[in-house]
Amino acid sequence: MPKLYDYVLSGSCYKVRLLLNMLGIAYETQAVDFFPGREHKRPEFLALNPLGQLPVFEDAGLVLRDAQAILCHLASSYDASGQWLPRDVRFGSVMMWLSFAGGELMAISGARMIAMLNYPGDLATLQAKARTALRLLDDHLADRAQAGGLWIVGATPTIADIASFPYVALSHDAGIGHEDYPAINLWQRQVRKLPGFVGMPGVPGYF
Amino acid sequence: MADWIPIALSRDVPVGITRAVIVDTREVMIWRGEDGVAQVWEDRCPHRGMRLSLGFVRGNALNCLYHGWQYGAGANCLRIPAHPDLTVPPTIRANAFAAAETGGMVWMSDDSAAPPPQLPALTPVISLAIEVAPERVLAELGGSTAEPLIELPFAADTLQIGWHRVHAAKTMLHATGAGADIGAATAHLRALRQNLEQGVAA
Repeated sequence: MPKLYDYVLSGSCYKVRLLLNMLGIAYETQAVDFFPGREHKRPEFLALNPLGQLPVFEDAGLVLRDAQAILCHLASSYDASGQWLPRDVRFGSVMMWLSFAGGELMAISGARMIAMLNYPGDLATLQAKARTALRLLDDHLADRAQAGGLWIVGATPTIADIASFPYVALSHDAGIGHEDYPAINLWQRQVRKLPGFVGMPGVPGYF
Repeated sequence: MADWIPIALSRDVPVGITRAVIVDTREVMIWRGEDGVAQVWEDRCPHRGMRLSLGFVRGNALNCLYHGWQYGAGANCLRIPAHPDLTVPPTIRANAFAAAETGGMVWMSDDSAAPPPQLPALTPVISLAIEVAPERVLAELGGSTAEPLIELPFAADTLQIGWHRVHAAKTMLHATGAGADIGAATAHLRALRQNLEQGVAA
C-alpha cells in the first residue's frame, strides 16, 4: 500500500492527502514529528529524503519527495481520466502553476512557520512576498472568471488547483486574510466543493 | 460614518458565500443566503469573537465555524447547537450594518436613516486592492474623497468606480461599466494600480 510520511499541520503533506482522497486511493500514513521533534532532520528520515523535507511518498518501491512531484506521480499513475494532469496543450500551463505553488506561494509557508511555530526569520518580508504571490493568483483567477472559467487551467480542476489550494487556505495562519483577493475567495469555495475534499487543522471541511 | 460606502462588487458575493472586507480598519463581512439578500455584519461572532467570514451559509442563515451558533437574516441568533432546546434570547445578535445593493455593488452604512444611492444596473469589471492612500488614489483618478463614486472615462465608456478606505495606506476599488470591454478595462485599472504603487515606493 502506498505510504505517506505525513505531518498533520503541513500544508505540503495536505496537498498529497487532498489528491489521494479525491482520487480514492487507499494509503497509509507514517506520522513524522516535524515539530518540536525535528524528526525530518534525523538520519532515518534523511535516508529517505536527503533534503530533510516533508512530504515523502513511497509507492511500489518508488520513493518520492516534493509535493508537486508526488501530485504528478499520483495523477500519472492513478487518474485514468487524465483530468488532473492533462497531456495536451494544458500540460505546460499546469506545470507552470505547479512551479508557482511550490515556489512563490511557499512564502506563505515560511511566514506561517514564523507566526505559528516561532521559527526564526523575517516575517514582514515573507508576508510581503506572500501577498505578491496571492495577488498574482487573484489576478489570474479574475481573468479566468471573466472568461467563464472556474479553475486555474482549463475547464476542469487539475493538480495546479490542488497544489495551490493548501497554502492559500492556510494564509490566515500567516496573518494574511483574503480581503484583498475576491477571485481567490470564489475559487477556494469551488475547490472545497470537489468530491473527496478533506480539511485539515486551519482548513475547515465545512464551506 | 453616516454615508453609504461601496465595499464589494455584487458579482463577487454569490448566494451561499461569505466575504471578508476591511472598511476603514474595521473587520466587516458580507454574506448572501438563498433569499438573495446581501447582509453586511461586523466580522465577529458575539459568542467568542470568531470571524464570521470563516463560517458557512445554510439556507438563509449564517453559521459560526467555532461553535455553530446560527444567525438569521435579521442578525438574531436562531440556534445554539450545544443547547438545542433553548429558545435563544433576542438580545443575542450579530452586529449588523445597513446594507444595500445598487449599481452592481454592495454598500454599507452605519446610519440607515439616509437612503442608499440609486444607480442604474452596471456591469461588474473588477475589484482591486491598491497599497496607496485613498487621497492619492482619488487624486490620480479624478475623484473626491467626499464622493463614493469615481467617474473614469475609458475608451467609449465611463467607468463608475466605487471605492472604500481599507486603512490609511490602502484603497479598494470596485469598478463597473455601462458597456465596457471588461478585459481591457481590467488591464487599464491594473496598470493604474501599478503606477500608483510604484509612485509610493519611489
